[in-house]
Amino acid sequence: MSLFIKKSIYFLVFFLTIYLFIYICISRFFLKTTPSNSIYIYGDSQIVQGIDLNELKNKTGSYIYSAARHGSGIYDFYYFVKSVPKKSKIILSISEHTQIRPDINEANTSPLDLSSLKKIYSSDYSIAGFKNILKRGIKLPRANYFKTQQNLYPYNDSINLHTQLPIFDELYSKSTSEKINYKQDMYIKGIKSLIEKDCNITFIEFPYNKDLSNLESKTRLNKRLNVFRKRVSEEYNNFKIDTFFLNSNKNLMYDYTHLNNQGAFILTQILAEKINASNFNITTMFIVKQCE
Amino acid sequence: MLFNSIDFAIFLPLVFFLYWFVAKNNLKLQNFIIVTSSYLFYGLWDWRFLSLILFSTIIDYSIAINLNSNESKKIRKFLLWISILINIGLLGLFKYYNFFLDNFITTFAFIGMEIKANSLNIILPLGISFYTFQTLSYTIDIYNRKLKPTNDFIAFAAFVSFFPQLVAGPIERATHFLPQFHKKRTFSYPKAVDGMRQILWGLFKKVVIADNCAKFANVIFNNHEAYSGSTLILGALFFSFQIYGDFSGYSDIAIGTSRLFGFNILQNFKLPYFSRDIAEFWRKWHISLSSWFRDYIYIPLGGSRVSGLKKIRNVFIIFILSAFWHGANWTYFFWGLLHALYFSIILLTKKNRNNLDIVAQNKKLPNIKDIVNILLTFSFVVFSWIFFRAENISHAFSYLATIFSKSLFSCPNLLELKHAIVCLILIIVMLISEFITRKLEHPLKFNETLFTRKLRWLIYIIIILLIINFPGEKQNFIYFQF
Repeated sequence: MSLFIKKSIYFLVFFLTIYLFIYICISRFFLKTTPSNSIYIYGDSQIVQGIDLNELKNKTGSYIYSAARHGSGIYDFYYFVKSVPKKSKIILSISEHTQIRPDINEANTSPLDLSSLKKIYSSDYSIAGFKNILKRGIKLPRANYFKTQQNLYPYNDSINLHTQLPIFDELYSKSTSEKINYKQDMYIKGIKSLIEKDCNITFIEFPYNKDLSNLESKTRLNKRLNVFRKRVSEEYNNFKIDTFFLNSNKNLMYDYTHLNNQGAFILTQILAEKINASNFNITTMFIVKQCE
Repeated sequence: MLFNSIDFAIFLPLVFFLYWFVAKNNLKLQNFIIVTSSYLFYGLWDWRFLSLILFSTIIDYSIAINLNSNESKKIRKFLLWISILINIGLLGLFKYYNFFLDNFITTFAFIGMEIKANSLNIILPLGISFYTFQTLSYTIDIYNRKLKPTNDFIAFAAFVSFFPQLVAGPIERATHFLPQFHKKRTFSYPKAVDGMRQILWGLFKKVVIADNCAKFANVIFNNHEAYSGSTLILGALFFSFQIYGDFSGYSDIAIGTSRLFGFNILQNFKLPYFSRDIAEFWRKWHISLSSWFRDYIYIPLGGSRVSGLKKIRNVFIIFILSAFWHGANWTYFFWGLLHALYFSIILLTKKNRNNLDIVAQNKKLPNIKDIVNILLTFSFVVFSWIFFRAENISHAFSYLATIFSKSLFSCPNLLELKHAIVCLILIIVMLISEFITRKLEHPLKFNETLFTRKLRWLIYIIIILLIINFPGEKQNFIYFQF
């Protein structure tokens, strides 16, 4: 019996040592250094599908690195905040759905990092959500945290209805002002850290399909969600809100919340022009809308 | 509690510690620990259904004692039927009531009669088909005087509820398993190490193979209209390996865990996808269930020692019962029917006992004839799995219609093709490992002179890395629903 336990412990320690070694090595490679003229992108699926990385690179002449992931959560954001170099130029999207997404549904696929975990642990983040972070983070990091390529959703004449409106309705009805407030607090904390790192941020809000926008505007949470813009602006002395429209005869949405490749292409062209004009000198929040 | 969960990773060492260190050589206390931990294991899913297990245990325990003390044939038969009716009655109520009611209403509606009846709003208790069959085997064996009843209620309760195999088998026979609860169990180092290895292999099959295959099988089966015939074949293949990885993986974990506690559970799978005919397949797939049906239904009905027509009748009876054992759905019925048809042909041509040996025995590779037979049998099995996996009969036929269309000859149009290819490579690795070690219970049963400790540890590390880093979407074990 004692031999069995002794050998089991030996193996466990041996395995953990090897795993930790590989984990640290890959993490170093994972966050390899990036050139100085770079733009970093962070957000959830809206920005993953909403920006054409190649087009942005061509139009701005900068290297584009995206840490945006589908369903990304607050831990992903803190990991991004920690990983992005000082004085970076960042395009940031904290979508409304990110603010109302329950902790347990957040993807949080970023590798384990003690300082980011500590921030989460010291907040009111749920135990189940925290367990998810650990479970996903234990996997060895996949090569390249910052992506330079992204597959966009294909064009279709009509939107894909894989997620029906009642599901969004349920999502809105389940969320409370307190929950949104708590999520916004956590994101603002992250934004403050980016400001402390002298990062220049461009915020962006992506369009929703008009049926979803109508639904969302009728909810009691609408006001609470709009407060986020105000809270972000309060962090800056010089803050601008710029609304622009996507003009096209074609359908630019893939589904209720994501642009398709045509929509992403048009949006990226306009965004690149505006970025080139301002060069991140004035912190701007772009609110993108679709023409009726 | 799932075997591939953090909860189980904490639960197992705790029970192991209590069992070997607190109970030490006290057999009664060890059995008591097994019962309480098994009830906890089950109760964490839904404590309300613990009463069903307890009820079943009390009924069969007392009936068995009465069966033994009674000499009257009539009373003995009566007692046996009480046990059968109660056990099958519970199973029927929870598993088949709504199904038969719906079909009853539909049939009467077809002839213009409207029947109003309320279906029950109940969930299927986890593992009910498994522990019901296990306790039934006990009373039937006592009735047939193959076994003496136990007077130790705790030992019997431990036999019924033994957590490693409570919810998805293997279905153990009382004649083999119950005596182990009465014997003093001492810790055996080689047995425990072997158990750990088998758990590791089971986890690999479940987490890496089955869960990754499930991802593709689910997408393809749920949206089959969007895919070409060739992709649907890929979907059926993925499901075939999902169900194999899932169920044989579960059995491996169950057997391995039992070994840690000093028990021996019989093998449930023996390379079924390398079978050369369907009879061999059923001797190697879910062995504990097929042998249960063989011993308690097929042989009492006369088995294959009766006239031609009766033989066929018996085959159809066990396959259809086996189909409905899996669930109350006509898809299972079609699946059973297909197997019964194929098996009948083999039985009538007297080829059902052609392949009793291990494939490629005393050779490295099977011969051409064996390879052709393996591929043919495997194709048939994959074909029948389509019915097993389909939501309903029309779904199955629509799936088949798309397979046998022009698009069969096009390139598979699957998103994440790279991931699918990696998954196929891992399936091949699993099959090769199991084939090479086909005479052993599992591929990690190393010959320690050939495999040095360094090599063994390297293999363990690779497998654990795969389990941590290449898991599919977490799925419930498929056989939990049965």
